[in-house]
Amino acid sequence: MMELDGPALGTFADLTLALERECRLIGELYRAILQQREAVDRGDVSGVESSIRLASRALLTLQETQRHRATVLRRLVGDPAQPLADLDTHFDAALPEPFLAARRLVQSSAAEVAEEIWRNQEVLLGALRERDMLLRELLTGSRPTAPAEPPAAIAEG
Amino acid sequence: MQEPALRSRDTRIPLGPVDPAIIHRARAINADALRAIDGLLDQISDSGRR
Repeated sequence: MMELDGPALGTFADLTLALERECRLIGELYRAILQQREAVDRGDVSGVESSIRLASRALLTLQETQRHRATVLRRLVGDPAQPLADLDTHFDAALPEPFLAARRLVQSSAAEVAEEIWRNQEVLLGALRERDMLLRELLTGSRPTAPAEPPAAIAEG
Repeated sequence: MQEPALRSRDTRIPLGPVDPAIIHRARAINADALRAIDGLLDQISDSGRR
């Protein structure tokens, strides 16, 4: 058990800042994902390209922030891969509330964005299939009577 | 003189609103994002050690 003393509290403040930054980046990723869906819906090629750039940038910066968080964790408990959920088992007192709040926020934002990304994967797969059907219609003069693949394959990432 | 259609073998048919190559790129970046977010969720919400 470690003491939650001055230096530890200072490191917790750094960890909280890192989590807040991750939360903002998850927000950027969320906006890029919504933009991507709307652009696919409109058939807006430059909008899709712009959403890809925004998502890539948010993802790269997020990974950079996670590496920074790992160095802060190493300073705090000696383990850069320490799961944040178990951090309280290392200390003899309740963890600082700002840290707990930031951890909750990152968790809920991450779960939310994951759901939206899954939806986009389905929308994009649908767009590919629609184009495939149009192409077949153009080549054969009629729409195919049966779906090309069973619906279960839609969830494939 | 060569026929226009034969000049390039990979000429794309301009059909459908969004080029499939762009859709594949979007799906690839989304898959990367899902992996990163899943890793983050494992770190934050799962009390089991890796």
